[in-house]
Amino acid sequence: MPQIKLQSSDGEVFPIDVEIAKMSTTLKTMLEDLGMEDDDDEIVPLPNVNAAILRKVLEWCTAHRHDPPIVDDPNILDTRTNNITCWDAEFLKVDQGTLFELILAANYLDIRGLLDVACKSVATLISGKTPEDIRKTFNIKNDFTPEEEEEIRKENECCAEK
Amino acid sequence: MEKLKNRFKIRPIYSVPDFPEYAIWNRTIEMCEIVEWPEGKLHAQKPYSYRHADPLGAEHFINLHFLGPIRTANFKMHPSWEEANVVVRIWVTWMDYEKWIISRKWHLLYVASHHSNEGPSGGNYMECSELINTLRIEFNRSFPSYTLATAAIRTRMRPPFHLFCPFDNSVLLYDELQTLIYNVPAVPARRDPGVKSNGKNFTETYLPPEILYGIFERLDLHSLTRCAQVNKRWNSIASDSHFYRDVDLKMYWHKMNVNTLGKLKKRLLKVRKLDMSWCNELLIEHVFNNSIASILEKSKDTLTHLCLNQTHCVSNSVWHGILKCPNLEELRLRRINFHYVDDCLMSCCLNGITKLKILDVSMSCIKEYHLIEVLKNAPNLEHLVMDECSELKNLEPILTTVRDNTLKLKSWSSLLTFRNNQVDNSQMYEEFGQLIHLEQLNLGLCEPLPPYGGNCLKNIARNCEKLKRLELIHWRQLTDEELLPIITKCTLLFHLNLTNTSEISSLTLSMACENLPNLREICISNCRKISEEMIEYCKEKYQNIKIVRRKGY
Repeated sequence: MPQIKLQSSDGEVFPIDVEIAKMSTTLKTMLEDLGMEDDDDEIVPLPNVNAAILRKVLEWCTAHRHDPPIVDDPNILDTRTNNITCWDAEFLKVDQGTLFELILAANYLDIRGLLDVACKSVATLISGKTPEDIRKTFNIKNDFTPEEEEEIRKENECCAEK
Repeated sequence: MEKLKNRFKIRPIYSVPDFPEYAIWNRTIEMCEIVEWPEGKLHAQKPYSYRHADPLGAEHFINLHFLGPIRTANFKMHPSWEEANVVVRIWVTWMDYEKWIISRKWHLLYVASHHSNEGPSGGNYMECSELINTLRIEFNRSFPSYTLATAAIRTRMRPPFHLFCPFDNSVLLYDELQTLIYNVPAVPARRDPGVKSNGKNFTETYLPPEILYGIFERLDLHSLTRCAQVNKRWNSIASDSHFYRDVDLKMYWHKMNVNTLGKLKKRLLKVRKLDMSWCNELLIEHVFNNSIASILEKSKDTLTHLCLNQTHCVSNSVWHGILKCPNLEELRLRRINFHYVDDCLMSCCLNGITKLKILDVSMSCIKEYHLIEVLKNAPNLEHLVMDECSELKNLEPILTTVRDNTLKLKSWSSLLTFRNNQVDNSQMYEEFGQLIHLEQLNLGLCEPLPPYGGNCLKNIARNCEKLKRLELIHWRQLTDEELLPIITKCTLLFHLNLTNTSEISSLTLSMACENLPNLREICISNCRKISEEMIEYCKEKYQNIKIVRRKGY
């Protein structure tokens, strides 16, 4: 199996199968565009991803390498909602910082499946929470004035809870 | 009150027999079998957005109005309804009939559990301390029966309390209350998955907008509006009309007042699928209609699915707006009043909702010429559902229009329609055979006179090779011989409903099981000529065919 080497932002090198690397659209395009040979000993630097996160990303890619490709269809996006597999749920049991970094890495490397499941995971975190709870969970500062907040609350009343 | 009396029939409550003989129980069972249960049918409505869909799948509601004040402790849900989770929610309110108060607050009294196997204890009862006189029951199966609603709920009332029957003239009797519904604990709130903060000083500003979009896309409407209240950045993203393209507002009907609908309208700009069934409950008619019209105007080029079930009536402007949506594929107007739609309006603005595939006008009073105008301009129509349309009397113009204009029709459903005595439609039934792409046909409760019923089936059998589902409920004069062509030729037939066809004998049952390789369900309740022995024999021999015969008629 041909391999390539990925280097994380903190310098660690990960030799991986090309097949797995190609699950990342970013890497796939890069490999094809640059015409990198399989036996090249070149190292691909990934300045936006650190070793801990890259290890997680590669773990996910290895587990999902036989997944069918994701089709760009709004209807399919809908049907997949809330179907996080057990393996993914276990995999995503990480602290929030790691989860967000995984999303960023998945976005940067353009790994649709991982991005999808990680976003879903964040969505689950949000659902059922009040705005104040959401702020607490994600450490967000409320930058509304009380008047603005009241105004915004009214504007969003339509789908408030029963 | 006089005004009300004219509108509803008022009947006294008489003696109170024990359950299950109270009310018209047999008819209740019959109803749940013969009326439309759209599950599994080709034309069943698919969720417009999985993210906003009602987790309990409420499809239908009925309001019961009591003349006297009622305490909520006086209700008891019938166990069979509860276990089946057919009743999913019960709402109560006090409505002042004298003043016809429009804006009223509804209290949620009961929510079914999410898991149908949990049984009665899984339900979530709530107490409402106020006196109420109006009860709203939401079901997760479509059916038109008022009787069914009252069978689901038992309440204790003593004279001089009376009950209004808004839909039919069933006599309603009620059992003594057996158990008071008190202090059942609420379902605990959902627990968060075990994600903890790692103590890092992490802020959400890390997340670029495109990722927030990705996250928000996966949220339901309620959570989305919550996110819009978090901070300015989240507000600007979460208020984007992008997230309001596929919206199902049905389950938020109790929030749709003038203010909220006005605010929501600003976000409904590029809607593709819109379900606003029931949302007129708290609104004056013309306010609701104007809002719908303005939403339609803004989204006319993008709209593909529209559902306005049970919103009382469409106005000229709404109807006009609908007909101007060139991409409309699905239109559902169940139990809608068409009386205010002008006749002349139609022809002038019709350049055609030519992409229309599904049209459901069940229980509405759509008029013949309105329907025909739509049908003439909908060559791609595949599913036509018009059960219980009181204004449709003459089959001929509708069937010929369908035959000449819509070449791909797969479903025709006209349960209880076209049975008016003034017009004899019998001869037209022979023409059904010309709809050669038919896969589902429901002609229940509207039997033609002999010999046209037999001719109808003969033609269908000859031409409609794709037929999968045939429902002939209450064809009381149908004979084995007349049904024979269907059984020998329609080999794809999957579901055959012969409930109440009293002339059908054991022969048909055995032949159907024998000859129809794809048959999975055959309903023969109240077919008295079919013997128990034959049913037992067929059940034994053809185990993959579900033979439905309900007892208690």
